[in-house]
Parts: sequence; structure tokens; C-alpha cells
Amino acid sequence: MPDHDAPLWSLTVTAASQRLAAREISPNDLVEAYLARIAEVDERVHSFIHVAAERARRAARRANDELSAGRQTSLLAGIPFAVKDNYDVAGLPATAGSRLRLDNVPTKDAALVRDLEAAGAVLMGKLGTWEYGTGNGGEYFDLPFPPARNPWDLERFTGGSSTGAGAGVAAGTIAFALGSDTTGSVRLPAAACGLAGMIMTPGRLSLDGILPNCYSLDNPGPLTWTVEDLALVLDVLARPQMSYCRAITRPISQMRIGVMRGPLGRFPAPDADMARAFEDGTKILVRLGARLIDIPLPMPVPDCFDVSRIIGPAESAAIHEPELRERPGDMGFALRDKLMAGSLVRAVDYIQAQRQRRLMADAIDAVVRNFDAVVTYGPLHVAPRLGVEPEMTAFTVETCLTPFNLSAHPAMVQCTGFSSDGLPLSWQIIVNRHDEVTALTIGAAYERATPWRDKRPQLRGRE
Amino acid sequence: MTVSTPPSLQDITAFARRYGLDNLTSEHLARMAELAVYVGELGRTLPRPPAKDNIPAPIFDVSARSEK
Repeated sequence: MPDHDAPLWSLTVTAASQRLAAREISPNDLVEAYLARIAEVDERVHSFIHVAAERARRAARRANDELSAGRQTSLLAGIPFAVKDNYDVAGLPATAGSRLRLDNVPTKDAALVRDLEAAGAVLMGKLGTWEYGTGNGGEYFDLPFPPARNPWDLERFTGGSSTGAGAGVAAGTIAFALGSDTTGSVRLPAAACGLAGMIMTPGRLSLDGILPNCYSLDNPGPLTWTVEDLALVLDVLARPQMSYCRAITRPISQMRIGVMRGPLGRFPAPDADMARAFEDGTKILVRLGARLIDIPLPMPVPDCFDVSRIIGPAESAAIHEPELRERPGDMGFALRDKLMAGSLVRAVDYIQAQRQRRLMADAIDAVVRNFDAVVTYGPLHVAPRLGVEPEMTAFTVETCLTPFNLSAHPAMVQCTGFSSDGLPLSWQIIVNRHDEVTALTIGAAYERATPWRDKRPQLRGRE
Repeated sequence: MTVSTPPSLQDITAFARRYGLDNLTSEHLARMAELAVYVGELGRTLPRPPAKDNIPAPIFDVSARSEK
């Protein structure tokens, strides 16, 4: 039963949508609730780079008029959202978290922003990001905006690069957010901040109006509090033939699910709590009637990471070559390091990496095709302490996320409980290309069977 | 240069200048010399596909992207 005494910022997208439709609350109420929440906590969380309060109020009034006239443009009508600052929004600064782009004000909206606003969703502003939506795992405190902090422990990192998106949805400064993912940048913050985050089959969501990071791997995606909310947001963005929201209520009994624990190669074993939650999760899937079969990834996970370490920097160096030539001193350490590394990659090695990528993608696809879905680890570790370099790098690098960027499979991360320190745990659900609905269905079934969505972060630390 | 030894500052500066990276400071260039070892190692140790017709991933296939 919905808790009508809960603060509005803590409503799921689904619950808020239902209450808007029932005229129990208005879009104005929601926008004011989020603005108040931002004022209350965001000096400590730093989820937003730019809050577009008056723009949001105007959009809320329009949504209010529509709802009052009995027209609900979509289930997202009147729902506040925000985007990572590498998305363009006409008239708002698009800094990509960089000193290099402080004066950049686009004249056109990113396609996904345009789609959400056309559906009546209310843009609240721009969210923090690692510079240019990329990074090497470290935090060097050398960017023009303070780093976002993890609402479960403000001394810890949110996961990058969609840092503000993870922090904002978890802290309740925004109902849902859009991020972008090249080798994990939606799923890492979703995992570290206890959220659901998903990338679809590449090409299903438009990259138009998002600052490129790596042409061959970039993929946008939403972050939400629940998988049910993911389905609702993706119903609007991807326009599936059959509504995800309706489809995800199906049972998962009879589904054939692969369980992929590695091989992890030179990566360490997952944190004990992460491993425990993973195994507990598989038992829940069995209880829900799924048939589980152990399978290995066709290659050690770090081999995939090594391929991405050639492709990513090389493409970034090509994309951002003018900045490296003209203003290297205005970049933060992480971006400059990546672009200098990319400038050193031989064309021969780049092509070899793309050839290797294709072999890996074919091999992974041959495995995934035998199943309705495959569950794997996401990151192997819980959120690291912010600024503690070895922990930060290990969290970002030692994951099972990259193989599925290379293989172009839909991938969803969701919360699987909490560590003994109260930090979010997670796993990843992989499905066949264009079968996003199955990941959402399994994730929603798991979510309904577990209590993890009942607990919100208390913003502990850094009072 | 050997596999594990970074190029000299003079060599990496010449490399950077050759490719138009004229505004890197000596500190940046020293870091770039360190990166040269790491990047070279990555490229050298990357497994090579077994057959010549193992073609690259279709990296610039834009057909699936939505309208601009």
C-alpha cells in the first residue's frame, strides 16, 4: 500500500505518476518538493551542477494545465527528471563537468530530453559528471565542480562517470535521471548508489545531443530507484511495441537463466558481501521458478577490459583532439591522461582491438543466446572511499560490466541488498539483443520478492 | 626505446610536436612518456585474431542511430 505520509521526493516514479493521475498531487507539488530537497541536502551531496528552477516551474504549470484538462500526455507527465551534464538542453549550460566548456550553451535539446519533455516530464537541471563523461577511476579534485558524494555514506564515491545521476536519484534530489555509459558509467553509479540502471541494445536510445566519449561504445541509459520505474521511463524513451510496464508483471517461472561468476582472471574475488548477495539472489530466482545453469564467460573478464583500454582512449583522443592541442592545461588530470594515452595508441593496435572485440562479441553472444538471461556480477566491490586512489580504481576497473559494452547486449544493474557497513550491493542482468523486456521482467520479479527498495539512504557522514 | 623504459623527454616532446600537441607542458610530457610504456605494452600484448578475415566490429555503422 502506498504511504501517503511519505515525502513527495521519496515517491517512486510509478507512485508519483499514479498520484498525479488521481489528482492527489500536482506537478507543481512535485517540483517544489524536489527544489526543497535540493536546498536541504545538495550542499552535501553535490548531485546537481545546475538547477533550472524557474524553467522547471514553468514546465510544471504546463503539465498541471494538461492534467487539469483531463489530458495525461504520458505516464511521465509532471514527473521531474534531470540529465548528466554531457546532455544538451537548449538554453542551459552544458559543461560536461569541464572548465573547457563553462561557456557552452547549446541551442538544441538532446533527442532523449526532447522526447521526455514532449511526454510531459519536467526537466529540473543538469547533474554532475566526471569531466567529459569519462575518467580513470581516480578523483583528483581538480574540476570546476565538487564531486558528487554517495548518499549512503557521504565519504564514499558515487561511481562514475554519471556521478550526479547516481547521487541524485539515491538522495531524492530527483525522481529519475539520464546518464551515459561507455564501459559502465550508468551501471557503476547505479550499483554504488543502490539504484536500477540500464543500457539497451546500442542504437535503441539516441545519442544525438550527448557529448561523444567513444563512438563505438557510447550508450545512454536511465537510472531510477526501482526496476518498475526503469520500465516506465523506457516505455517513453524506447517506445516498445508492448509496454514494458505491463510486460514486467509476468512470472519468470520456466525462464532459463545462466549464472556467470567469471572467470575473473587477474581480478580479485568479489567482496564477501557482494558474493553472498549474488548467491542469495540466485536462490530467489530459483524460488520464483527460474531454471538456473552455471556458465562461464567465454574469456576472462579482464581480457575484455584490456580491449576497451585501447579502444576508449584512442577514440576519445580523436574526438577531443582540438582540446588536447589547444587547452591541455585547462583539463583535469584524468581527462588529460586519457587523451594523452589515446594519442599514443597505434592505428594498428586500435584495429586489432576492434577485431578482438568482434571475436569477443560473437563468443559472448553465442553463450547468451542459449538463455533467456544471464546474471553476472556488476562491480566486484562496494562503493569506495572518495579520493582513496587504489579503492577508487579497483571499484571502477574490477567489474563484469565491460564485456557487455563490447558485445552490445542490454545490461541492467539492480540493488541486491546491503553490506555489513550498510552500502548497496548489486548484480547485473544480461539479455539477448532487443530483448530488454526480459531483463526488466526478471529484475522486477526479484524486486517484488525482496525488501531492498524499502530502505532509503540517511546521508550519513560529513555533517 | 626498450619495452619498459619510457622515452626520453626529448623523444616524447618531438612526438608531441609532430602531432600538433604543442601546448603540453614539460610536466604533461613527462607523464606522457610514462604513459607510452603502458600503452605500448597494452598494444603489444593484445591477442591477435587468428585469421585475416576476422574483421573489426562494425564500429562506424550509423544505420541504427536515430535521426539527427
